[in-house]
Amino acid sequence: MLIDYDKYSIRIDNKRILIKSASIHYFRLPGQNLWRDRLNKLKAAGYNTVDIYFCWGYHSKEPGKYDFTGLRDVRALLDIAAELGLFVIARPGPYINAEVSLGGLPKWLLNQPNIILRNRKDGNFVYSEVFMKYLHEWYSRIIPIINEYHNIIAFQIENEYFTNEAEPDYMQELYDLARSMGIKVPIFHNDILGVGLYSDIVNIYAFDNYPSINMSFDWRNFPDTFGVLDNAEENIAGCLETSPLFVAELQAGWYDKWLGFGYDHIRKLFGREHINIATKTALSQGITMFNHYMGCGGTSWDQIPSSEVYTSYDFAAPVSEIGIPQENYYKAKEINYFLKAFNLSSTVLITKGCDVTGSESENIFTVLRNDNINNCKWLFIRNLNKQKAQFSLSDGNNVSVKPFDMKILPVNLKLKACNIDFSGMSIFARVEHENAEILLMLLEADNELKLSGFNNIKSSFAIEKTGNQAIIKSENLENLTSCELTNNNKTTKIIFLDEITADKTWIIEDKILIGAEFLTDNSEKAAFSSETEVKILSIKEDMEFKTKQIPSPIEVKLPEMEKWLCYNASPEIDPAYDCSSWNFLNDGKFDCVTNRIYDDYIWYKGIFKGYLNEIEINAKHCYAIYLNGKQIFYYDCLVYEEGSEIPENITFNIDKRFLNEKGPNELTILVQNLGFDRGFQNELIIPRGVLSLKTFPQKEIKWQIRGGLTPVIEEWTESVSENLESASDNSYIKMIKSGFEFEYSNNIYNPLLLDMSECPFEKADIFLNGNMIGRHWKNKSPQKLFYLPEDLLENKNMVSLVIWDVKPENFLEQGCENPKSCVKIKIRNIKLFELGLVRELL
Amino acid sequence: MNALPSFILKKIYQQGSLQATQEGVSFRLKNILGPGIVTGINFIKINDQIYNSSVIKIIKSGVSVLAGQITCEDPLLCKLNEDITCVIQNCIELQGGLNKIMVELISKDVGKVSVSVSDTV
Repeated sequence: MLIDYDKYSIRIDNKRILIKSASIHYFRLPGQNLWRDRLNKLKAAGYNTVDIYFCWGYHSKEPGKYDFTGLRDVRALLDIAAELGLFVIARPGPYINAEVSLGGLPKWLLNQPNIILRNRKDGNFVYSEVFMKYLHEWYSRIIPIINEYHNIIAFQIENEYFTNEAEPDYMQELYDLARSMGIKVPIFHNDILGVGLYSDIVNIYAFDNYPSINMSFDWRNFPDTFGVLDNAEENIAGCLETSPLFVAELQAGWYDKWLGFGYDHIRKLFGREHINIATKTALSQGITMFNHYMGCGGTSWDQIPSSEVYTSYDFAAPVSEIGIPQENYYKAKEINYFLKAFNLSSTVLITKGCDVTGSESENIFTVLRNDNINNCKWLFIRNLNKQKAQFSLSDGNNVSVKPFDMKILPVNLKLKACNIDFSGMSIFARVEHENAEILLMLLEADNELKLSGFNNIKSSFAIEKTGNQAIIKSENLENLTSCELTNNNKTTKIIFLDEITADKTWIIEDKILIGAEFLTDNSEKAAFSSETEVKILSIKEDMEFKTKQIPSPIEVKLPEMEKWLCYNASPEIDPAYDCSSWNFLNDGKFDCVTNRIYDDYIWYKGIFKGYLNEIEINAKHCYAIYLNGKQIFYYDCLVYEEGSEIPENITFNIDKRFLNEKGPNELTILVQNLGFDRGFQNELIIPRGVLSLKTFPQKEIKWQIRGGLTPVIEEWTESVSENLESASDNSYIKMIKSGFEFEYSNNIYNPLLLDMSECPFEKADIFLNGNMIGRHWKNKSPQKLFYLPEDLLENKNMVSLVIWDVKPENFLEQGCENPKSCVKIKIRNIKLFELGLVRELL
Repeated sequence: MNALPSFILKKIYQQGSLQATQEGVSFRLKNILGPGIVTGINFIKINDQIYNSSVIKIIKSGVSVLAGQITCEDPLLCKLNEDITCVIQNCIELQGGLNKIMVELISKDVGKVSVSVSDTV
């Protein structure tokens, strides 16, 4: 592919293309079937590009070792994108943020002597040869893979990078490195500040735009929310006048955090309006490259997440974590379909702030642009008022805009058999074949469509005529009413759709399908969740809808887990436990980095003699301390203040009841960390585990250390379970497990979830067939449903919960000894979709 | 690490705006980043003297508000490119030559932000 660009747009093989992209995190979608499913859904929504972060740490667990197989086989992902005809924006970091642990850097980097991650310390630029050496290694592994694919259209270096004085050295070296390794496509960086940072180094200037990132505020109450986008052409486009303006991350949702609001709340906040306004406002500025971040949600399984986020990374994205399109998906589809119908990749500003008079003038945003390709004008009009805005434009046309809505309206648009002089109703999509076309328009109340330039018009509704102009008023229209205009041998049929119908309307080449909830398998299959009357129209045939009845989906019995087994899972707590194989602390320091232990659980054991009054400890994030096998303290310091971790030194008194003042005493500490910081606002190297520990009086203790919980490091073998059963009668960590059967079907889409809403335990790690798929933490996370990713399911499955209820009294009250009566965990679904072959509908 | 780099903070502060007034001392900031919501102004430090929010007045679009009244519930909304004048209502003797100024505020979106600059009278 030949890729070049000018100030208007990117050009691919000499054709101007408006880049409609959406992000996915393949590392949060464990399995190639998931990749295929999600990319199919993006394609069906009209996206022409997928944006992919390549996560260094996901592929490299040890220095010099890289895994690009199975769940990490990025070639398979790129193959799917190529097969679906999607362009790819490649973003290999090295730092990606993405709310992943260490921002995507491998943990082993932390132990490299003299390394300064990202060449930045305390915000200042500090060049690190060691970091650059390993970065070179990463690039030398990932870039050759990227270079194998001809559908890559842009390449990003670093991510949201800045230093106090914006030194260019690091970015210039990354640029040169990428070029020297064969990257031929335009290179960009995404400027989080939107101030033209590094615009003199890159080919295309890109910036991030997140108008709403504090979920305790409703953006609808702040009319200036979209202010940066409103002024992007004036303020930002000049940063690099030779390139199109690219919004590398255009907000399509937001992530939730521990102690957060929950995705139901976030989805309500964004609604279908936010993505519509953000995208159309960007388009109003002549922006011809946008990337919805995120396009699909994902699951922060295994040790992927940064400490800030819980398991679900639904992101309130157009495609939810479990792969079900949401209302912002349908809105994105609407915009993408329009942009496919009319290529807006070369437009010029005519006026900003058109003269409007009417019910509202405050919080109304208007832009008029000339379209060099379609030889028309487009009026961008936005209403950020809580009331409908109805007003007249200076040219005498009337427009009505719903609260928090934005429209792109045609002015003097030439169609095959007529002209649209003006429309207050938006164009949804267009299907063309030779001299015929069908224009799908949204039936938007209190608006009118003015047509001219036709010979004849046929309709089933009233049309007003003034001179040569026909005026169609929305009040005379019903859903799916249409009119047909002819001019010589050309035909334009206009069909009006209400919003609900538009959501379920799909363009498949030259056909229109109404009724499906989504399309998959490269639009070869359509999904239905209830009895539906499907309408199909082919422009090649008679341009009339045919109907077909789709019955209700078959009922599918959900898997059940009945027989739960319970095991003690922390023999380490027992004073008799043999820890002779454990390492002694490195350099007398407790933290995970010094000791090179990167498991999410870390054990410490030490022996002292005599009495002890107090212990002062600082550890991340959750920990319990046992004295001679009895829990004497527990704490969780999951405390963030305005995005920064707060260190917490805790001092507590020793419970003397468990102290053996004459003989040796054993202290055991178990610390669970929830991942490293993502390193955006904070430094990257913030160690985990015990960070400091003092005893009073001071004792000489030779501490030993080991990572991992017994059931995890023993990889779930049955024999270990038996061993565990007899290993300790004083365990506060339990493992419970149960099996279920699952039958995969090509004909249904029925994502399954583990429902933990009635789980009596405070805290548990959830494993599916040995893969950690979630962290349940009742009082710290709103997440109660945990996705069982299809690719991790087998015919016979095992769900295991490692329960760490730090309050032993709670644990006993729950009757864990009798798991059948206390484990109220079940498998459920949200919705079942039956998948029908589209060709059989047509 | 500050959520915003120094080179941006220097652009936010309007160089040459530091002046002694009848009320005390004033200087100007310009919001070049984007619409923002300030939920608190912790303090302003001039040279080594800290002035808390009770003696700080903020003037924006001709309207003044005491910094102590800016809270999460009653935030200060700052438009893109809007000028903001900070007045410290106190007897302050500015130094001849360079004066060090530091403003610490809480932004709704990025948390605590410290703007540290120098200006001459």
